[in-house]
Amino acid sequence: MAYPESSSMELVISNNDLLTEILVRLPALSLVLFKSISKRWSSLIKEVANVTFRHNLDPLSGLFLQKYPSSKEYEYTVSFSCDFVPFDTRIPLLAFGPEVHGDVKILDSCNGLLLCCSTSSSRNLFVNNPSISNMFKVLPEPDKSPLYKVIYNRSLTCFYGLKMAFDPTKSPLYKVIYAETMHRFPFGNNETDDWVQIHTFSSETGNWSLCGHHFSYNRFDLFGDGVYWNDAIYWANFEHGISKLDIINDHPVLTVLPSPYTVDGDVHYSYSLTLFESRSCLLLVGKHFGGSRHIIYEKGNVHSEWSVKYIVNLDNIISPERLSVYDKIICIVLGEREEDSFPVWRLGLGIKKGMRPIDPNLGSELCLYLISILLHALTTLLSRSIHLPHHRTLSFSISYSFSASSSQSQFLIQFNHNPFVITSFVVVYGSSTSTLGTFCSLCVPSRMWPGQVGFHVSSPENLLGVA
Amino acid sequence: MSSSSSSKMIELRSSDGETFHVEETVVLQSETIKQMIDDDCANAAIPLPNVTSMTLAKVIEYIKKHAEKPKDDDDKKVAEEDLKKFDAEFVKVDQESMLFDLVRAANYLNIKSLLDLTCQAVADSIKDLSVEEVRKKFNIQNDFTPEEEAKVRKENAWAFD
Repeated sequence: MAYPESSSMELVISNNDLLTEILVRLPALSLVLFKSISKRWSSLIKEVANVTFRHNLDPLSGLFLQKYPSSKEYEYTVSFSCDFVPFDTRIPLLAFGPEVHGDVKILDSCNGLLLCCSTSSSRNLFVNNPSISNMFKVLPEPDKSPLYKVIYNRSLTCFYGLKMAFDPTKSPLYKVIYAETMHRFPFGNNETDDWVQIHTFSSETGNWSLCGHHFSYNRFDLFGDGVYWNDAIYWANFEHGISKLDIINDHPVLTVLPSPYTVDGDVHYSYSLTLFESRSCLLLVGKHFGGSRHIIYEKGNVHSEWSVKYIVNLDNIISPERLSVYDKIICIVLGEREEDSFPVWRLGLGIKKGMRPIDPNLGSELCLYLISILLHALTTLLSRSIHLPHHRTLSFSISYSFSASSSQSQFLIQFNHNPFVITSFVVVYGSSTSTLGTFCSLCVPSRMWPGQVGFHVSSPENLLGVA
Repeated sequence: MSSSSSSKMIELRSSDGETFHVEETVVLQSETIKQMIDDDCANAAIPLPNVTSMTLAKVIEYIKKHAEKPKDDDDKKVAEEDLKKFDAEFVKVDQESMLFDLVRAANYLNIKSLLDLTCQAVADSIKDLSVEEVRKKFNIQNDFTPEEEAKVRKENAWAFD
């Protein structure tokens, strides 16, 4: 029946127990994809998934890249275009739905759910699961406070204070937190007179509830950049370090967390701290002011102290003179295994101040410039002894597109999905330098900004690990 | 130094009739053989009808390495590193069929750590493959109708429930 040379393989694969032993050792993404191999594989994987997936969040499959129009009217009726950039070439590009196109802005994302608002006049807030493209839930408007309606209808900036809280390993229910800034009349008074009140939407009740407590406005600076982790929103701001808003019950509690000490024993400047969440860990990136050294701290659970996880030096990737203040980590993806972890960088790639919007005629020249940088980055990686399995050859393609209507250029460099090499390298240019670092865009799992590079570096050599 | 260094030798016979002599302390890593010894069935050569001499030699190489005991704590760290390296090299086999032979042998002999190691190696060898590539590699027939396959792809676990 079976050929002698393949019999051992076939005997193993046809044995349910042994195949299960192999399946439980696959990364979650492969498991998901391999469900369509055959009916037998599908049912075995479902059993495996029942055991393993409950304890862990699903792996990140990619980032949403939300591009902003250059128009100053961005706050009014505009079209945002949204690209999905998968971390693995086997993930279908259309896995994430078309719902997040057109006049929809992604405000926040949390473990696979997107919080969006419509930029048409209705200004509806809705929650979308992009993996089931047609499902979205329109949220009611928060309880009206005197000024709410006015701001709500006028501008999208008021949505800055909206955060999504969802942890599918704990509950299928989600919350939306809205930190509403309240101004004391008359306007123009000292900012310190303003205050923030917290509205919470719960998918359990389907309603918003308002917490009566008034929080100091300053404390909520950069709340919109916060992350949801373990029943609380965490964010870092200049004045107050790391703040934590507990949202487990109807009365949010605000506390301040100690900042970690740097490896040199200094306290980080709080404005150089950024928080991320990945695989149930809270991560904090501290950047030395004016330096290219980033220290990534990890907090495994609410009770643990910050510990240094990686020290990353951008010198390895890009020469220091090309670095700008906007160059930073915009997302950290912890892999199922240590070597699968990588940061996503936003790199301005040497755009100098005053550089004019990208001219279509400049395209090819700029493209070449970028390619040289990319090749530089690639050779840096390769020279750091990344090994390629023998059956794979390194291949990559570069596509460049320029849209005259939106004055946006996009470079997409895709490498094969070998985990040891760059998976995708995305450069999206805004139309002018003023868009750089000005507008925040939210994606799954984190935000990407115009003019940034998504960089998949999974070589541990590039992340100088610290014990 | 341990006084019981002269451990009893156990004789194993592979499917193709070759015999191997292994110290009892080493071979006890196999739950299957341990059971036989406990049941007093190990006085003569233990026949292993499912394991070829080539595979058995590899298995013995593995359990011998894993039976080495570090002398002290300093040595322990070095030994752990060394063992890691050994494991990584061990699963780099020339013939892929050897890896599956080892999976079967580890399963039959019930050596947990070897089963973990070899199954992980198989998983690593397929984790980056496409669905088509896996089907081809393992000679699996796609028994889904196109509609069913589309449905499975749709219900992928990016969804939450």
